[in-house]
This record gives sequence, structure tokens and C-alpha cells, in this order.
Amino acid sequence: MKHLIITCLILATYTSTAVADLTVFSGRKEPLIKPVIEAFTAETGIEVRLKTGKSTALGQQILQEQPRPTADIYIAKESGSLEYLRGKGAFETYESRETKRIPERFKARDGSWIGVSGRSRALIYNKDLIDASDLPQSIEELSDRKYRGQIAAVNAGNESFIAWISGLRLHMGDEAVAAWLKAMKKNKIQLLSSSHTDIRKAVGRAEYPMGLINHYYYHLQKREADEELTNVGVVYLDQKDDQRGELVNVSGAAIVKGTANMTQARQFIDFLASPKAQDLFANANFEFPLIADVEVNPEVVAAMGCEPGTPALDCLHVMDVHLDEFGSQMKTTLEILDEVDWY
Amino acid sequence: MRMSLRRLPAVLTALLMVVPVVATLIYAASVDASIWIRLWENRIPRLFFTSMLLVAAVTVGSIVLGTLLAFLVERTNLPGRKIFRPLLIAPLVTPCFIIAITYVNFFGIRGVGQKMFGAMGINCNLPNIYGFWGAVGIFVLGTFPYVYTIVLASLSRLDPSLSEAARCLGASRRERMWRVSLPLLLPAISAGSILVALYVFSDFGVVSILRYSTFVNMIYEQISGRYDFAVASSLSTVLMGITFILVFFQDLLTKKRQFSNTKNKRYNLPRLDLKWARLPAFVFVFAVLGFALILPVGVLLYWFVQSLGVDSVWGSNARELFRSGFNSLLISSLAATAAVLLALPLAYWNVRDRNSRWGKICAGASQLGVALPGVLIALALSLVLGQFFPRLNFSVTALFLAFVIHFFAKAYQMTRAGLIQLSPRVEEGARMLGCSPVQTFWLITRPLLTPALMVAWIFVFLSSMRELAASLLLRPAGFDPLTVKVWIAASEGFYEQAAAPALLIVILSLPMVMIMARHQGQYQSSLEST
Repeated sequence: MKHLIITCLILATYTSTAVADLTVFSGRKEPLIKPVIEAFTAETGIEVRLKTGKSTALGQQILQEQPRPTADIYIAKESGSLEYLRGKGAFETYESRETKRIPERFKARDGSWIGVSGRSRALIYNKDLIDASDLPQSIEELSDRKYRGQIAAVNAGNESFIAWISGLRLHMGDEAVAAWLKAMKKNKIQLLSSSHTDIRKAVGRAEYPMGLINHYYYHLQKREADEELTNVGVVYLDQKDDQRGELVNVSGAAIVKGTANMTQARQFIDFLASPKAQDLFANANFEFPLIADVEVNPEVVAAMGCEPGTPALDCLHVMDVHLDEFGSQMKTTLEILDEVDWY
Repeated sequence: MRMSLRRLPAVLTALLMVVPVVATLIYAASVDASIWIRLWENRIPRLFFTSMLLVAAVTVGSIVLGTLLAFLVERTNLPGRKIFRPLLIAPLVTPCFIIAITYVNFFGIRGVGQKMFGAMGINCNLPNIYGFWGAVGIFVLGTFPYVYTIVLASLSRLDPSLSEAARCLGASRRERMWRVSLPLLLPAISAGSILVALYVFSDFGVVSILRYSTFVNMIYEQISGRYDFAVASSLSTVLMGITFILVFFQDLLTKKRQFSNTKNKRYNLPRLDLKWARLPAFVFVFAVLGFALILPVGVLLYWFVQSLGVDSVWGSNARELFRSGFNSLLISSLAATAAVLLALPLAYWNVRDRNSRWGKICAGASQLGVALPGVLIALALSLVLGQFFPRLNFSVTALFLAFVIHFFAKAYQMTRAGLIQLSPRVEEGARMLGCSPVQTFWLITRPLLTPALMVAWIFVFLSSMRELAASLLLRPAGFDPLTVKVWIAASEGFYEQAAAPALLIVILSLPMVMIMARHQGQYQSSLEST
């Protein structure tokens, strides 16, 4: 009797996982991807089963599950994870009319992943706590004594941050970056957690005057319902012509090698490159759309000091790096971050 | 010495419980020496210090608070003690990390609290909740019921004759307290405090939310943020070492001082008259309840009411919520049932066949899991399953195994304690009257053992409902337990969305906590004999 009950329970547990035609692993946060998935289901009728988590943890699971993956699609919040997995042969290659619309520099050379949205690094600040004229304009200034203890940042558990440090290394060299990180630690940079949401909220609540983030977190903070929390501004660092510019990275998606649902997976990738999805990334989450037909949200370019309608990437002085280098740079970057104990 | 085949289930159970320890050690042994050196140079000493400080402070805080409350409720004329008695266990229904989420938002700058006071015309800055003291406070509020329950039961059975004898021999009131009453309570206090200490070592939610870094959240960062587990497994090994030493010493402490009174009897003693302190004591107990239960649940309700007005909630509708609730219920009850069923043969072997050396070894081995944080079990299981059963990795089965391994030790201790109280003569009598062993178990042992098994079941069930780290790491796509739902929503700042699943955890746990409150006696005796 007892065994019968247990068997029933086990069966019930298995059947209680959602029924779906497509399984998506997303390193993008649930609120940032769910609207896109819902639009996809509404358009195609394909039911999606979603697992969100950190890009790395999900990437790890995909590698462990080879050659019989449970995931059909992998979405990562930055290109380092995608490149790392591509290097391990974890993706199918796919090209179509839709994916061709994504510029070359924002996807894998061999067609194994596409970028779906662009995001720049930036500095958010609280207008109650710091005057716009006192703000730093380059990353070197961040370690200035006058900003001691005033800057919040994420720890080495955040993939976007890791990619940023990789980018800086390619420009400054390993030793200079390590020295800069050490100087930042000495200057009492506040490493709150591995989540940029914590940074934007802390700055919005006036716990810290400044925070290092991806640009759209500024706009998300602006959108907070409570007006007290929205008195924030944004600075893009290193914008002069002789400076290195801000790193623009992409979140991207790929089809997992060995998927049993190839047709649906391809449909999903096509959908991510479609105007509808790109519009959601641009207007629900304030990211840079990657196809020409969709305009970046006017608030985003306004914050950069440009006319509405200007493409964000023309407005911003962008750091000159190749996104496909991040995969191979990750290991050394992590070693440096460990070395300076960035936790 | 030969082992008969019927010991096989017990041996296999013990082996299962050892798997995480062995897997972690094997993996850590293969870690490059340079990584070890780097870790020993900076991170390990720092984490050791922060973790130990936190555990020590919380344990002391919980002992003081739990014992004091038990004393007030059981031994004094505190007003409202009959109502307080069961209510003080109720904070167990809210997982600590949910208390932390509500506190951060209540006490935070420009948070719920400041607004509330602002509306009343009071402008003030609430104390900073982040960091060490905030973590200590929240852990104490979340874990004092462990100490409270056990001490309460122990107090209610304290044999007054010992104290009276001491009085006759001329001991003063203070002497009697320090030399008679407290030593008698010591086993209960130490059993409660080890539960608290191990909980603090293994909880990663609270420390992450309060920005305090300990071994557990560092290991979690490493597991979820790296492609190789070298650092994670090294840190895990160190943490494992610390918790083993802790459990070992607690064992030593209770073994040396067996004053525990075995008579299962309640004494009605005259209660201490608090006199002028009655009102302050009442206010104090009420305040504890307010901070541990009313405030967190109140904030959740506030968010829940707000969420009713929000229409665009990224798809976490009622259907998804109920599926999550169903998932949580199922996996928790499955884990609880399995843990109890697995504990039975091992406990039987150990209690009825006291001289079996193998029995002792297996029982000892099965207890290793008690010291392992959920993060660590998830890491080890994922390594083992990935290597040998890749299909089972990141499945409901993996999650189920993690829960069973995580909470088996307690289930075993409670089952064993129940079995010890049961005289073998009764079973022998049934056998002599012609019952088969199976019949004897079913007709005689099972009904007598039911209360103990029930308490064990509830303990595993509640612990599984509260579990977060292993759930986050091992769940398959489309299977989010309630804790994961709360965590995902809250970590993005969507508190209105976190409210409904959090309240559902409270609602589903409440009846179980109340049943447990009624069986305090069983609960106590089983924990004391750890």
C-alpha cells in the first residue's frame, strides 16, 4: 500500500513539471526574458519550459548533459559564456534570413550563437548624494581618494563584470588591470553581491552615491514606482576621443547541440531576431536592439546626450574589442579577480 | 563477522549518506596545490573568522532567548502564557531567508518601515540592517524556536526532587540554579544549539541578502559562477572539517554529562511569581513574537495586497503558483517519507542488536550528512550523478536525493530515540504468541512508534519546504519549488511577486508546525539522545 502511494507520488511529481515543446535555459533574469517567451508562445503556439539561473551555472549543466541535453536553447547574458560553450562544441550552428539581420560583430563567426540585445557598462549615481560636476569621467578616476567607500559594485560572481574586466585587460594589460583592481579595493569599493539589481537599488535608496552597472539598470531604477527612489543619473565613462570608451557586450542565444526539437529551436532563434522580440528588449528593458528596423528607446539615447532616433552605438564611444575573445580570456580574468580577492 | 542479507537496506542507506563526503574529498584531492595556497593566503582565514563569529553569536543568542522564553512560559506566572506557548514555535513556518527579505525592506533606507513611521509623523533612521549584526538578529529570530521547543519540554519534566534535595542540603537559590537546574537542562540546550549552529553554517540565503560573506555563500558563488569546481570543493572541504569538529564536540559534551531524566512524567511545580516584572516580561515576549512572526508575515501580507493591484506580472499567475506549491509539497513529502523509511532498518539494527560493530559503523557513517550544508550536498551530488548517471543529474530525483541526504541524520536520530523507548519485551511477546516478524512490526511496533516517526517525518518535511540552495542548483527546468520562486522574484526586487509564494510556504507549513508543537515531548526526547 505504502509503496503504491509512493509510486503514485513519484509519477505525479514527474508529470507535475510543465508540459512543453521547447526547453529554454536562460541566464537572463526571469522578468527580462519571460515577456519575450510569452510573445513567442502567443505567436507560434509552442509551449516553452523555462529554467532561469546564472549563465555559468546553466552553461555548466549543458556541458554536463552532453550528448543528451535537456535544454534546446541556451540564453546567456553576455558573450563570454556563449564563446566558452562554443569552444566546447556545445552548440548547433544555424543561419537564416532572420539571423542575417544581426550585424556580424554581434554574433559568432561560425553561426553557433547570435547576439539578441546590446548593453553598455555605465555608472549610476544618486543626485541627492553627489553633484554632477564631482562625478568621475574615467575608470582611472574611480580609485581617486575622494571616492573612497562611495562606489558600489558587483563581486566576481557576475558574468557581465567578468567580461568587462576581460575587455579592460585587452586594453590595459594584465598588470595594469590587477593594479587598478587592487587600488579600487584599497579605496573601499563596496562589493554588495553578484547582482546588479542590488547595486541599482542601493544607489536609488541613497545607500551609496555611485554604482557600476550595465546601462539599462539605470533606466529600470528610473522606472521604480516610488518617486523617492528615482532621483538617479547615469554617466558613461571614458567617452573622450583619446579614451578607450565603454564596453558594449551582448546577451545572446544558441541552439544546444543534440536537441531533439530542432524545428522549434530554430523558430525560437528566428523569433529573437525578429522586430517583435527586439522591440521588447529595446522598450521593456532599455537595451540596444541589434537589428536596423527597431529603434533604441528614446530615453536611452537621451541619457547619452543624443537626439532621439540616433542609433545608440553611434552615440556612444564604444570600446574596441572583439566579443569572441571573451571566452578564451575568462580563465585569466577569473584568476586575477581571485588574486585580488574580489569578493 | 558475517552480515546477513537483511542488513542490506541499512548498509546501502549508510553508503548513500557517505557519498557526498567522499565525492567532495576526492574532488578536492585533485585540486591544484597553487589554488590551495592562494586560498589559504587570503580567503580561508577571512571566511573562517566571519563564519565562526556569526555561528557563535547566533548560537549564544538563540540559547539565551530560547531558554529565557521557555522559562517564562513554563515556570512563571507570565500573563498569556497558554497562548504564547504554542505560538512561540510558529516562527519556524517562515524560512529565515524570507524573514531577511522582509527585514531588509522594512529597515532599509526609504523602506517600508521608514514610510510607516513617516506616515505617523515620525522621521527617523532605522538601524542599519546589513552586515554582521543584522544577520545575527535575523538568524536568532529564525532559529530560537529550535532551542525553545527542546528546553521547554525538558523543563516540563524536570524532576523537582533533585532541587529539593539540594535545598535540604543548604544550597542557596542561585547555587541550585547553577549546579542543579542548569546542568539538568544542558543536554537539551546543547541539542538545540547544535541544530542552530548547523543551520547557520548551511543557510546561504540570509547571509547573501545581508551582504555578509561566509563559507556557504562563497561556495554557492563558486558553484554557480565557475566552470571548474576547484575552489568550491576546496572551500567545501574546509567547511566540512569545521562542522565535523563541531558535531564531534557536541557529542562529547552530551555523552560526558548524561543527567537527563528518563522518567516520562510531568511535574506540576509552583510557578515563580514575576511580581512587578509581569508586564515587562509580557511586553518582551510579545515583542519577540512581533519581530519573529508578525513583522515578516505582515510585510508579506502588505506586498500581497499590493500585488493584487498590479496586473502586469511577468506571467507568474495563479496556475504557476499552485504548480509550484504542488511541487514543493510533493518533493518535501517524498523526501520525508523516504528518509523515515530508510531510517527504520538502520535504527532497528542499531537498537535491537546493540553489540553489532557494523551496525555502529553504519549508523555513524549515516550521520555524516548532518554536518553538510545543502550547497555542498548539491555540489557533490551533481558531481557524482554527472559522472555516473548523467540522466539523473538536474532532475527531480536529484533534488529528492539531496533532501533525503541532507535531512536523513535527524530523521534517524528521532526514529532511533523512539525505538529505544520501546521495550523489546513487547515484540518478543508477540513473536512468542506466533506472530511473524512482519506481523509483529505491523501490529505492535508500528503503532507504538508512530509518534516518533511522525515527528521525524514532519521535521524532514518542514526542512525540505524551507530548503533553498540545493533547490536552486539541482532543480530541472519547469520545476520550481516555492522557495525558488520567492528567491527569483525577490532577488530582482519584485517583492509583490515574492509575497504570494512566500505566504503559501507559511500556510502549507503551519499545520505541520502545530502538530509538532503538540508532540513537543517526543521531539525533545528524540533530540536529546543525539
